Amino acid sequence: MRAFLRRLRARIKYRHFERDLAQEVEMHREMAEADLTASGESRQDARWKTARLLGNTTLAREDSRAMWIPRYVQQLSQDARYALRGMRRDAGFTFATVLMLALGIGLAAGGLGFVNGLFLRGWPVPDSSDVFRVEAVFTPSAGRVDDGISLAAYRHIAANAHSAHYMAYGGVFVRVGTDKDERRMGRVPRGLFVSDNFFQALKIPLLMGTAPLPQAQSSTPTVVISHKTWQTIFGGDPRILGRTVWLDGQPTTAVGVTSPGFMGLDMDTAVYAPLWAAVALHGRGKVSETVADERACCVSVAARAAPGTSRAANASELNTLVAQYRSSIGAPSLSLSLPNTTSGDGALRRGNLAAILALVGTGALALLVLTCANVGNLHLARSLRRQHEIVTRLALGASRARIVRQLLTEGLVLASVAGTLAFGAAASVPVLMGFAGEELPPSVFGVDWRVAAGTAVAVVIVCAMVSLAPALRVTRVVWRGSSAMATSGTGGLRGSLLAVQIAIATVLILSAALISRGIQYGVSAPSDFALTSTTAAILEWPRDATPNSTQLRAFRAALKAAIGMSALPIGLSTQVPVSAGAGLSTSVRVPDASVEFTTTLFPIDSAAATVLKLRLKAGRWASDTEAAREGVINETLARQMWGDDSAIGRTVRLDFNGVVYTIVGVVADTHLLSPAAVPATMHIAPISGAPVLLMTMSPAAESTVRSLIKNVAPSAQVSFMPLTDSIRGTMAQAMSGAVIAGSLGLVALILAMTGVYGVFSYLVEERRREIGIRLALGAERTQIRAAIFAATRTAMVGGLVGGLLLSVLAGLTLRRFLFGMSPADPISYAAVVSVLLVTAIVATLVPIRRALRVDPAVTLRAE
Amino acid sequence: MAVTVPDLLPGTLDLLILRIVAGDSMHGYGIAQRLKLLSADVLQVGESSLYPALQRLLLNGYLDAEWAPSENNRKARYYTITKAGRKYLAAERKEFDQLVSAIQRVLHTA
Repeated sequence: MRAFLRRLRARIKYRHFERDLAQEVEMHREMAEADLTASGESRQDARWKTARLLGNTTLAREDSRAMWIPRYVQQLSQDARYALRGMRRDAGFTFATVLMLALGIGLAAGGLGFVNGLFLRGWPVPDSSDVFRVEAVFTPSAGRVDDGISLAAYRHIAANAHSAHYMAYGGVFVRVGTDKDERRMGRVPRGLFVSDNFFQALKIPLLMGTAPLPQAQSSTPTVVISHKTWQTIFGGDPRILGRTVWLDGQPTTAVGVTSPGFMGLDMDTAVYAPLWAAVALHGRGKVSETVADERACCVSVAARAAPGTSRAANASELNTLVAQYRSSIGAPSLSLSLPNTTSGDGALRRGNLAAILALVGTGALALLVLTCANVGNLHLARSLRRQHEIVTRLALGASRARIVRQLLTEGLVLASVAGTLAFGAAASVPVLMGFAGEELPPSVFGVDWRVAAGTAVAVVIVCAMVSLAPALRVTRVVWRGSSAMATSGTGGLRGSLLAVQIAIATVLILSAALISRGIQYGVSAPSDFALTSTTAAILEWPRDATPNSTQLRAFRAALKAAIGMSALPIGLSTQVPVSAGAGLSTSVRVPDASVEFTTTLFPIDSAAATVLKLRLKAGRWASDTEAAREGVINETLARQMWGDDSAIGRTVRLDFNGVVYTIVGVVADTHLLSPAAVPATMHIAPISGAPVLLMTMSPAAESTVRSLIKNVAPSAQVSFMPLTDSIRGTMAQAMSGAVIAGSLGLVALILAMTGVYGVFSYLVEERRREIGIRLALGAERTQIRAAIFAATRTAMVGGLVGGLLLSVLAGLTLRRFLFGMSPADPISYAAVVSVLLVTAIVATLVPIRRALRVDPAVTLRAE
Repeated sequence: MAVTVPDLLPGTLDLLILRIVAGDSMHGYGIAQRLKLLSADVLQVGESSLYPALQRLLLNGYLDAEWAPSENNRKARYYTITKAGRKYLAAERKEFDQLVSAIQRVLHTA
């Protein structure tokens, strides 16, 4: 320990230490010399003799220093300083390399931040590793079994558990307003009904106020709002505490505001209300049912483990308590899992995030490899330029390992500088979160120690990839007799690096091309319903004249009557087909069964089915009257619920409104909701919300609808949206995919172009003498051009062919972005090949022109 | 016959330096001269072994170093043995004696 502290001191006072040592050795030399002079030697002789006697003083100093500071540390810092000097001398090379590496490492670090946020980081609360969720485990089936922890079961657990602090919550969508009737357009924010101990147990940071109060302390519900809600809806009112917050038209009192950095546990959450008030606040969905009937399924349960308890102890206690409770009510046993609170799983289940993530991840990785290949090539060229220096050092006795180590250190210095820049870039990942939708709080994607460690690993790997092969190659000296020596040929390595670059660039650019073509195809492809001929009329009322649900009902009846009078086929729905988020996601079940099926509800009447040209596979279309309670399902849902048995005449209960419907028809699967997929769908007559009119496009139909609306609802505004326009909106996600792939592709193209340019420039530089001689001997310019091309032809053709083969694989994985277009789209392939060819020609033209301008006289005179 | 110190048994140089410094504090050149003198010119130590050994002893806390004016009025670095150094010297010396007598026994009997 003491020796370590002394070593540390020596390291800190390094200059002091160095000076002492140098002085001491010099002193030694002087004394020896003085003694020799005193014994009668001449001054000159004394100096020579002393030098011979003492040997290499530099070595002695190095050896002495090595006692304190390990030799490899000394050499590393020497090499690093040497590398920095070299980088300063070669500013152009340094700038280009650092920029490229920063780009590559930055993308990798950003991707890592993404993965970290989704899969490694728990809820953004203090000590989130102690927090776990409780989930019921069921064997997978087409539907979802509806069972789990009821409120009563939760109460039993919370009251009796010792190894963890349990809390219950349930998410809902809720309109938050400053007055009773406020209706905000756009997204309905998410609210959370939480148990009284929720804020305290999770240690959720509050900017001001307290957690929602327990029922015993406040008879009217109190809520905590998010910082964002406070700023956007309440204008940052400083007297927000105590102010009334309207949730779906019900009054509550604000008692707290969350910290600005806290945006929700795994989703952006606007308001937190007490669980006990869920019924009074008419919480939508399951939460209020669960609170009203405490044995009904289910509440979400999470817990914070008590200090020092293991997850296994938590699990065994929980299983005992749940078993106790369930046997007391005679329910069968339930198996539970205690997952941690990372948001990835949920986010993956919720959408296309997995596909986008895979795309970003693969692209970023490919680009990193491309960058490395590119920089590796530049390194190789630079090392060859330093051939003289390297060969001299080898000749003076430096070992090959020592020089490889020095070249690796240079790579490490470059990669570290780039890595630092890249880490800064990764910190901006939250800004890019637009791609993942607004569902996840962006704060999850901030950088932390894991991203930092990952970036450091990336730096080391990049350094090895970039400088190891060139370093090994240039230090392999071939001795040719006494005077000539040269490092061995580097054409093979350079060629492979070039081929890798071209292959990766091809894959990235082709992916971008395929996705953009897919979007084009999705918009214009002939559809399985009347997509191109249908237009939708959307009604909007001025803010102060928005009808309530009773008025809407009356309006719908009047509209139906008016449509009946007109001769035109006009259908009614509540949403525009193939628009973003068309259909209401809910679930259905056979009444009294415990298995539920996820479905998308899309209300349309029979006239709309005719306009859209939906084909019935069995039965008839549902009655247009609400009281008939009839529904039509698509083939997918019918197959999921009843397999090959007929669905006609069966009854299902819709989770959305709790009503039981009779299935009277099965409709063919169509891409009515989204061009990308055919979800399990159910159609019922439109019963709520503002109507959307669907009709076959024609000027006559538009004017008829206009006059019709004018008569029935004079204050409403009508706008027409052809379904081909609406479908464009749903392409947004594919569009973001195309933007990502496109920008990666563009970067790849630029990098590949620089790579090709660099290789050719170097090749020309290397063969300047040969070119000069050949020109002097009368070679034609075309012959020279052909010779230079021939040197890289294999690499370029190989890279292109390899890239095209890899692209076929990439195309298969990109299917979901292609909207049914074949991944082997000839136009994309042709376009990409020609773009690459043009790029390659441009990138080679300049160096070759320079080669042909070589003046034989000048070259030969230099010999 | 002159023997350069690195040819000796490992650790012997440390022992010799400590023994020389044990009497009086001394600078590096002085130690080298003293070694030569006491061994009747048999043992010679160059800078390349002396200074690493001195640094090693400093690092282990067996020696202290201090700058002070030398006999010719130049500043030199004087080494003094520490308490830990004396303890180490005693222990090592005992061990060395045992080793040498063991070697001699083998040489005389074999």
